[in-house]
Amino acid sequence: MAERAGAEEAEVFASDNIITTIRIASSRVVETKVVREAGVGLRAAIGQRVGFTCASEFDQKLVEKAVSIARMRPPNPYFNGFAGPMKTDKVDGLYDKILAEISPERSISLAELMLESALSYDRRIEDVSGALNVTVERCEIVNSNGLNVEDKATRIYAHLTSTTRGPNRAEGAAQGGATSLKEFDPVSIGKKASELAANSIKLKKVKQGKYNIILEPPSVAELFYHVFGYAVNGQDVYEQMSYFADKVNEIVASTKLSIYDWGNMPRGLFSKKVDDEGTPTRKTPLIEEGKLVGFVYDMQYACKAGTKSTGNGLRFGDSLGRCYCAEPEPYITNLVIQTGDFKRDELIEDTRKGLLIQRLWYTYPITPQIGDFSTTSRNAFLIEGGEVKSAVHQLRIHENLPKLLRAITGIADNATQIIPWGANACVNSPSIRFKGVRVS
Amino acid sequence: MEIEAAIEFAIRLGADYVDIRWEQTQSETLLVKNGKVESAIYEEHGGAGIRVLLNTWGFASISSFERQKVEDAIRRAIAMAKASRRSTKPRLAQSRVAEDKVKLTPEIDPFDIPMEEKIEICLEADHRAKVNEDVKRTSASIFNGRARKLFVSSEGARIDQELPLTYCHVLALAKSGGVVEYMDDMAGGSGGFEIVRDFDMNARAEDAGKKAVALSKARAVRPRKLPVILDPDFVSLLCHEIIGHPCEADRVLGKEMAWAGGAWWSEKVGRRIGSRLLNASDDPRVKGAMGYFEYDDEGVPARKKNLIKAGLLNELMHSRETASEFKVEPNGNMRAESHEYLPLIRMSNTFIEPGDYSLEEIFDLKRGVYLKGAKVPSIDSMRYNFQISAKEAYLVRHGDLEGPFRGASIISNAPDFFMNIDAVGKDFEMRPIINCGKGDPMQTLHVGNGGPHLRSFAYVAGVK
Repeated sequence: MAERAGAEEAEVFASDNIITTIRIASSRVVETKVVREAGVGLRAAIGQRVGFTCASEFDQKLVEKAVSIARMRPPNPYFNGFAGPMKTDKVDGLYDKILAEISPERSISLAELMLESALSYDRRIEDVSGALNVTVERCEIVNSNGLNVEDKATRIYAHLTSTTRGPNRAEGAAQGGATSLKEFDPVSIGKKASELAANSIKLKKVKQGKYNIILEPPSVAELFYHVFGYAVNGQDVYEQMSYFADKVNEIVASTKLSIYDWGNMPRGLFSKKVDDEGTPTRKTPLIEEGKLVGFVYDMQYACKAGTKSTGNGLRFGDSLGRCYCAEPEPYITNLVIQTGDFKRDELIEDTRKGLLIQRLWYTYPITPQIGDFSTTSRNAFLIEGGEVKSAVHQLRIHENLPKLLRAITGIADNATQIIPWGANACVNSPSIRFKGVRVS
Repeated sequence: MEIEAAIEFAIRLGADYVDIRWEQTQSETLLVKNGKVESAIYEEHGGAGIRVLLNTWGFASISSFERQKVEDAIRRAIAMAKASRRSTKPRLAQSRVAEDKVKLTPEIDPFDIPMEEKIEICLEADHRAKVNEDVKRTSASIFNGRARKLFVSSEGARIDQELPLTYCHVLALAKSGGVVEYMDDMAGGSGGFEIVRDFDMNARAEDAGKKAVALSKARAVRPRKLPVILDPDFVSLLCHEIIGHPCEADRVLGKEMAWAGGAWWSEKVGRRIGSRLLNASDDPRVKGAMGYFEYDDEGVPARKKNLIKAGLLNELMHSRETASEFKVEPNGNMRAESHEYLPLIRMSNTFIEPGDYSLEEIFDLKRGVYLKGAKVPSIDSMRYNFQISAKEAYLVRHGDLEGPFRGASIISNAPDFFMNIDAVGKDFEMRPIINCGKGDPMQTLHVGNGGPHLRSFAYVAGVK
């Protein structure tokens, strides 16, 4: 239709996502919801002029609109045509038919299992809140260069916060997920949240100063998603908003640290067979033993940088998954922090004095171009003599991530896939110890 | 299928209460970066969100109102609302059942302005931002949209609202001696192209370029505790984070602990939480503001809420459910990002009310720091301790300004900050915030926030 209307090239991206959410508040199920987001996005190109329209219900008028937009806008010198057909490999554990067809009632019973596990762990647990989400993503990309590819994925993910009763309300949070139903363990999530809450009842105050800090997987995920993820995004690098701009091949971190983006990771929570332009996904090294080696790109920003797409051109309109209503931009998928040599308990035993932080909250780069960030802890513990001694009050950390990357003194082997709140990516996070972190 | 027929179908299947939000939206987005048109987009979306109440809330969204799809969605929502063994049926406070039609007609319909013309405006503004070779990156963008929302409930409500939304943005990033700084500016609200016209994108872009260059050559601020003066843009974000959010009744009740967090002043409604000079309100009916509406997404008529009165925590923002728990009347603060989501308690236009101080009086300080333009916040889970960075800062000495300085942020806790407010300006500005996030799955909503210049005391942090 687009070619008949005058386009020289055309690309259709259709997505159909179903997200089932069971929300828990005040220790009961308060909402059960199913969101279906489906529609079509069309890019029509005349030379290097590209028009984009999208709709939940598509018709001829929108095709003509896309072509008319292409006609009237100036050329984009960074558009060199849509992707052609490429060989794609199967991604293990991407789609689970059983999970895709899970009944809403079964989703509710899993959420209730998680809730009951939290409440029954300790009689001091008074309040439990959280949510369980089941996501089924489907998309299809067809273009005039012969590309015709379908992709689908499933994901079940839950998080829970348990709070104790009494004047010194302590909280503990846990989360977990899988791409298949059989690998999802709601009982352990409930138990872990309440265990952390029960261990946090007596809070001690901590003096401000510099500490050796062990960040547990959820706090590593929060920090790296919000303060590292944009810095390795080809768009932010090109726009000079990344502290890694102009630093490729330089040592930017401890030699203990290696990180890669893995778009086709087996059983990765944000794995895909292809990105949203049709480029096959892959493993993209970002930091190798402390050296910055690469960034993630879509086709446009790869062209701006004089390189090739890394299969990270993704369309996210909101937090419901891959979406027809956006043009592709570079995004991380599964950010994998390579595990280290320590067992998690060894990291603690090896720390004479420090802090163990389970969860960070509201972590943002307050000066993004240099990597200064601010965050607070939710669930932190004092370590003394290699032992976890007591829970501590909420702390604020105002620090610089590039400096902390160089201050890594240990990485554990306990990687867990964590999705930060509202994220369209996952961080495969082990526990990490940093030296000399300022807290207040 | 007619909406009323869908409602009856849900009631026949056992729902105690049903509401349906049917929405249609259109929008255009133009984005120019570094002299090139990066995006030129036209969008149309539509569908319905169906909310049912049985043992608990059930919800389903659909993009087509074909009978079969509607009935399947209703069956699904009801089955889910019935299925939980661990639920307590919410009670809803009574609200006036309205039948109304609201249409806000913009002064200049932005859809009447050809896309080519909007692209030219963005290209020119983007060009103006590049004031010299120190400016490395520039951008200019325009968004215009309109949404029609039809709300129908089993109680007989039928409300048809049609509202426009327009915003524009300019940005310049400069690099000098290894220091990278950026400056941006935006305007937006429930209006049309007059917002873009009145903003004067060219002048603002040039100003952003000059400021970015100045900041890239500026010294970093020296950290210390001292009096701080905040401009309305900074106040708007401060108000959003430590007044608006903790006034959401679901947070106060602890229902958002899993993600969004709680509110440190949960037990303090009616008690002092700040200086007598502090007054704050939420008002959906501020015409032209980003968060304007006449009825919320539960069909409750919008009204102004006096959140803080003379330093006393006075009123919260409610849904019909939380209003029932607090034994008050619902006050119209439920909104969803779109028909695809369940509504949540959200700010509309939340602001600090102007006071009696002139700017001369506010700046009459032996020594202080003036922070202009809010950048990025970080707030703890109870909205108690916070850090907010500023776009630029100036030293204030006896009314004179020295600067700009870069990299400034304030760190404080809300009770101390509120108690130390000792001057609130007569001026006022409402600012647009287009990306307030809440909920699971997360929803992003546009709100208005604002206030006057105000003065308090805080720790001013610098760059790390």
